[in-house]
Amino acid sequence: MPDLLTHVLAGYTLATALRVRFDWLSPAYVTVCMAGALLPDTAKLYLVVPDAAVATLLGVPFSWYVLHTLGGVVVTASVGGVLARRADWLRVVGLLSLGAVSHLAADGLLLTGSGHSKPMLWPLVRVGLPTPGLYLSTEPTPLVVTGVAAVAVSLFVRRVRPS
Amino acid sequence: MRGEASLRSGDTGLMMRRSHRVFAVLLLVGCLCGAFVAYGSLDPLPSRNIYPDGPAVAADYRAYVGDRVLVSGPVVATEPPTIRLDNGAGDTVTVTVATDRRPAVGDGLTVFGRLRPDSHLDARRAFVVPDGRLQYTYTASALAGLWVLVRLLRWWRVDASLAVSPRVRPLGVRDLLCAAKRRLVSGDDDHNVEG
Repeated sequence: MPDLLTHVLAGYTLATALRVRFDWLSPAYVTVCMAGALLPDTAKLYLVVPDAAVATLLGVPFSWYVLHTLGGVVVTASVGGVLARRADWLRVVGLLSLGAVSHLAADGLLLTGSGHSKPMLWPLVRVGLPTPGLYLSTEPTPLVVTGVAAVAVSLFVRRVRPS
Repeated sequence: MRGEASLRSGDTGLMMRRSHRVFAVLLLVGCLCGAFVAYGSLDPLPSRNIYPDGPAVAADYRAYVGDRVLVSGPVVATEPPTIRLDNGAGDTVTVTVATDRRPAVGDGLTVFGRLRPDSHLDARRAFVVPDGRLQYTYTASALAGLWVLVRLLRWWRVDASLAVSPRVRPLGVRDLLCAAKRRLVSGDDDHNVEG
């Protein structure tokens, strides 16, 4: 992952850009997309409770990584949809998914040791796709880029659609 | 929307809707738990670019000797660079890495290469994550989490049927702080319905 701030800014930028097209996309809904960008990194729970620790405790194999896959995102975004009031469920699922998929896409560009990203498309396919290796996960460059994009898009949308 | 607004505490419709929500969430959490186990039981698949990782190597080094592995860990010695791998459940190995990178103790080192007997790893590709960079990443991530949390609390509310809906007007930051204080003092959980 690049740091989470980069992901959240990307989610903010995407949702804000969509405001040009969708009237209902208020800051409340932009926030949902930002929250979606956090979803895949719930897999970082392994830093607190390692996979092997859970596996030992429960006596079955276990991996948090599921949360960072397409399948995991479908389930976690659905939790959001279930919690939303009826009129909003589709918007919430859509925006959470958009944020989460932008997160996975950004992670697919990371520089990795093997030159391939992790199998994020599970359970659709289980394969490490080649990555262009644009940046290291601990580099601040993506943060600067998404930060500038967020400010630019936000200013542009404010001009086109004064709310 | 009108249906939701007409619900009041004690209403059976409301209780039903609440229990439906709880049931649906539990169902989804159940799916997730199944997936945790299903994914956990998968083996590495080098033919599809999925390689054994650090925790796997730490747990059973001999099983992967001769294989290509993708590991990262803190540098515990230099000359030659040595990293520690552990799986968080008490299994730890230290591996000497054959690489031209020169990390310092405390840096992180990510290595893709072939595992040799006697705790040696021939790096085909390696890169250093300087000490402090990880700190930066954690700090930025914590800020991001806080930002989203504050925005969610300001713009969304939960009603008595556990439905989450957007607020007409956002809570001010001051309201947010007051609400937090109130909750700390009295521990009460106000389901105020907005007009």
